[in-house]
Amino acid sequence: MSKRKFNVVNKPLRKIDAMTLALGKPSYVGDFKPNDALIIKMLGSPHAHARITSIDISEAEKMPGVHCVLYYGNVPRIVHTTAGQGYPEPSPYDTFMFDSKMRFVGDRVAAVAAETEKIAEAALKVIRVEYEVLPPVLRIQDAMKDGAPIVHDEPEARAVIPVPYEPKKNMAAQVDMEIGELEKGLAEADEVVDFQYYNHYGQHCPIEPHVSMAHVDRENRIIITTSTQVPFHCRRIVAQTLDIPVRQVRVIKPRIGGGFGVKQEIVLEDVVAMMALRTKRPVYWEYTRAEEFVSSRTRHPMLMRLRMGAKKDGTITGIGLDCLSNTGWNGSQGLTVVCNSGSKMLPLYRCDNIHFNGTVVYTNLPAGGAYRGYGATQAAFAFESAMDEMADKIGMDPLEFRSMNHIKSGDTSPVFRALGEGREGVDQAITSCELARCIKAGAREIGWKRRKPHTAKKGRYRRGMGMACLMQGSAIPEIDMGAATLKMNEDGSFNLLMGATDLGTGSDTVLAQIAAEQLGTTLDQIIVYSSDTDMTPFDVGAYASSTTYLSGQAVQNVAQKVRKQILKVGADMLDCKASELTVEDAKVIKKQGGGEVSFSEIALHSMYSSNQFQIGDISSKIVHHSPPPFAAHFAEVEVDTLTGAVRVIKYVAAADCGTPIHPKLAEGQVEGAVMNGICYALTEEYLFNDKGRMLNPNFGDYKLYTMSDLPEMKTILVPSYEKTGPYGAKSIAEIGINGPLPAIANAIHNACGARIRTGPFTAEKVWRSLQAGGELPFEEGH
Amino acid sequence: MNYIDFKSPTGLAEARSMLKELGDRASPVAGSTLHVFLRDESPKVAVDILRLGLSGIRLMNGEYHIGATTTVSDLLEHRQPGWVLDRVAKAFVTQPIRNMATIGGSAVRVFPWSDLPIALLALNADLVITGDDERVMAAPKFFETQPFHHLQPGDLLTSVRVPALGAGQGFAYHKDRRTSTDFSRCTVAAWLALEEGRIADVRIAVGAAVPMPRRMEAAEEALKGARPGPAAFAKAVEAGIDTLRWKGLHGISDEFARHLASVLIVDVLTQAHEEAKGA
Amino acid sequence: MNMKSITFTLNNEKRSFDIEPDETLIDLLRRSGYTGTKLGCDTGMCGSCAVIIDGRIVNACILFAFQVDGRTVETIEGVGDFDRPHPLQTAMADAGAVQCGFCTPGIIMAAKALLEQKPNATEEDFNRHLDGNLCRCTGYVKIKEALLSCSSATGGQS
Repeated sequence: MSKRKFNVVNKPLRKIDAMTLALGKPSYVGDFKPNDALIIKMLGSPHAHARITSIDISEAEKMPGVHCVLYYGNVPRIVHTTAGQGYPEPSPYDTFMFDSKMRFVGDRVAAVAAETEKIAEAALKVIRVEYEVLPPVLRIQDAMKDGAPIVHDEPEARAVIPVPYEPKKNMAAQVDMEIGELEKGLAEADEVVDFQYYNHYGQHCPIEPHVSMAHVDRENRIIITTSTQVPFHCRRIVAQTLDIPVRQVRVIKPRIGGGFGVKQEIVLEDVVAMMALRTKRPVYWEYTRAEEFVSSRTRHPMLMRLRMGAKKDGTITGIGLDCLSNTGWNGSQGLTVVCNSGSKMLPLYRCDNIHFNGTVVYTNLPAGGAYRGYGATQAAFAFESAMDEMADKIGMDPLEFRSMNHIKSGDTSPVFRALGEGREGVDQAITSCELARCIKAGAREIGWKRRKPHTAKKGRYRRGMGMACLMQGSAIPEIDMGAATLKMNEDGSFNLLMGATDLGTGSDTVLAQIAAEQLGTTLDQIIVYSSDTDMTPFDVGAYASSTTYLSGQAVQNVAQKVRKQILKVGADMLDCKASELTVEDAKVIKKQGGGEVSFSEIALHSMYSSNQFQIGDISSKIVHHSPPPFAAHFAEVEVDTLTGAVRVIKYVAAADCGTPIHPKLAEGQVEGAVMNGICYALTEEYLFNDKGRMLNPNFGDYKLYTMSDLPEMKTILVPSYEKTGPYGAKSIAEIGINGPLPAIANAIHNACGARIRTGPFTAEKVWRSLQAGGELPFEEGH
Repeated sequence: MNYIDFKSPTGLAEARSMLKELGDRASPVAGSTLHVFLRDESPKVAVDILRLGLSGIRLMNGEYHIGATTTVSDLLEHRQPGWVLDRVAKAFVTQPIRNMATIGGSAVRVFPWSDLPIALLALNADLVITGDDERVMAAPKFFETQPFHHLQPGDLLTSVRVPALGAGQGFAYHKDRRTSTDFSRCTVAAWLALEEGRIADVRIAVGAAVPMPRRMEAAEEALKGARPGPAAFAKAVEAGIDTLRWKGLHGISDEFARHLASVLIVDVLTQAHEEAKGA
Repeated sequence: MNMKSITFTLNNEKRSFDIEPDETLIDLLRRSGYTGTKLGCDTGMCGSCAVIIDGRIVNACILFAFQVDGRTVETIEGVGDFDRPHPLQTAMADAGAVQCGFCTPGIIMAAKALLEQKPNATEEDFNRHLDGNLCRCTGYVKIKEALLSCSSATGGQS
């Protein structure tokens, strides 16, 4: 419930860059490519696991038009992580710019920079490489078996924070926690469910693949323009990897053509920077779509075991969640993703006995990374499927079962303290939770009352309904920091300079709304610049559902400070006390008795008339809470019981994100996340051959929905007021992707009795499950 | 493709003489939607065949004559009695690809997932090749092997002739796919003609789940003269299903491909029968 | 390389370009400063490269430049500008249908081609004519809302 009336906040204003983008104005990295830029192409390993025994680049180097060839023999060997995270990173240091060991099909062998793409490609073909092919690890279950091939046997591999890390066993991270006693909880239960679930590989598929360019300026600094969610982490990691000072690197982020987490990673920038240094020419590298699938990052596949005990009355007595996570060839984000699998779902239902284990393993497959939902997507599938399986066992309506157990305002959970991001978490009580209203509104919209058990259904085409409840977080408490600079111009407009990184979500608009609201002016008076490591203050970047909540508070703080300065100048000009004044409609006005000066007059006065100074300030913010947004999702599906094909008829997402700063953009976040989740649940799938090569790295075979596949979609924003957030706001961007896997799995079961526990829910799996009477032998995943 | 030159002839004779002269080095280009699937990197001269006046749909003597460079969008938008290829065009990839892809290109180069050949087989289309003389090939012969092997230097597929659907006849087509723009996992088409309540003639074609598009003749034989209905259709599928070798694409098993075909063939036979009855 | 000259009408202006025989239309456009047309997949599957040729939407990433010799090509740069945005551009911006915006020019071109052919386009028409345009941000809900508002069937103008 919004407690206040707002002027700019909570209004569906035009997104500030919308028209520029709709007009097709140059905005993205590729639009700024100089025509004389050298083009970079990368030779990828043909083997999933191999050692280069010899490599000859001489012919490529001699080719006319080739300016530089990089490989492990001519670059510094500096171990680092590609994960764009805070320092010291919770991800292990296990990656080099180039290495003589190949760890997945597509791994970097050598890069060429040439006058044209054609020349670069031709040069790759004349690089002679011989490999000693090693047996690969291609299945998650095999990674930690005795005698398994070791993916990271290099001596440099290490963890930089104190967490379990045993690369000789292919173990990239591990976390374990128990609250109460799980076994005791299960023993007290009337019913126990114990199932395995597997969520599959998936890719973010930003329509703009990774793209970076760089040049060396006249002061010998490397200027990198790149499609990144983490410009400051990018600067730090590039400097580290090239062994140059941070001051020699500038990272500029123009508009980004989608990220969803995959651009929270240093994938191209190290090579682009090195090529610029070596050639002194502008260089440009963009991934092909195939490279984007294979060589950027993916969702960590997880093999999960979920145990739950409950009493007949619906009391949950024990929850055990074991996640075996496949981080692929590098350990990027492995620990923190699996931590989130526990910390973002386990507090959702009250329970005294909880055990969680997350084990992250290396394989010779594409690397996992940050992906919208970040571990919660995986756990939500297991958890919310199991909630339905338990509801069936104890004979309760799954909606009732969830309603009686879910966390509510004022509650806390021991999980919050026990599990943080690679370390202990932070105690917090829930201060805003409208999950109950989300469930109610969603159930009404989908028509939950019509829901009948699958045993009552007949005919070839059968419909069913399923639901899922979700929570996420808003920023990483006590770790993430955001900052903003605000300064006033002569016409009463303001420059808002932020490290916060709009990756297409509209955060520039949302943050400008917060500034305008606080300053008493309109959105068009805020000129946003984000992000540029030379120009804007630090921000961790766009991840962990942090921008509105964390960077929003930094903006609100700096706007408060600037507002004070404005009032002080206004008081001088109106010859009164600042406390007698307020701001409204871009003016300072006397609360009583009349008298006003415009912002423009104030700015001119402060710049040119007396006691001159720049009205402006900087503010940084860390947060002490990570208030979860909540959501209830409902799906109605139709199953063709002869072919097993599943069609989503309607999808309802009801979400509590506190105050939606921009309701349309908040809805857009939900709709985009839900749609992504629906295709992930039903059609998106990595197919590998038995050598670890991905067979379908293109949009022809890896299917995203188009407008013509869209089911009826309904988004319901259920406002609450999060008192620690800017104008009552919490996050919204990630949570929506977590619902479709479980909601659709539950709906399929309700339609036809088939219980699918491995994604994606293909027609063949549903058909096989129906053949087997609803149960399907658990299919082993990758 | 590695094009080292291009030519833009404006008439069929001109195009043919260019193609003849260039021989192996020539690469006729129409919609240019298939080159991303070809791995030929030898140097070629592209010959644009979109300017030869080979586009258009005309009904002649109960047969539609479709110019080879007629686009799939044209097939989709065309409306005339007995015209059925719009049903096939509807499920053909995406709007921009429908606007670019031509019926000729789709026929000459067959991929496991190709759409149009399955319909052309079921409809018993004729394919017209213009060389030094004109050759007409029936669909089963044309699709027996990769059709471009039928073409000698200077030959072009110039038109496709598809019988209009007559009274007492029905045609149905189904392309099984995960999303509306997916490659096919199993495509089936059925054409049948009724006489006095019995099946006088029938053709069933399948693709995608088999390596090359094929008619299922054993099932057709089982249906000829039979009274149409679910039992007859199921029996026909039983008779024919194992005469073809099933191959699952895109992660599906061979077994499921076979199963899918068996369900979908009954579906299209049922729909074709409904249409033939005049329902 | 064997450069040859072609001439075509680009955004209502007759232009000549020297091209390479195997150059795609998108490469020609982007190196000539028409960067509003985006490259997203390079295989004709995402539609961010969609341009209008002779009134029909096509994928510039798989079409060869030589194929447009003598034809009429329209890109997003010819559609509107800040002082005279096309109704589709205004509708997309106002509906919240532009998130990252990378797919937006392609979507606008596809919708424009449809509305020029059929000003009273229905939801089904939009679904079919935009099935070649992938968007990963919006879930299409607001895009559809924006496009439908421009159809004369809903009282809109394009």
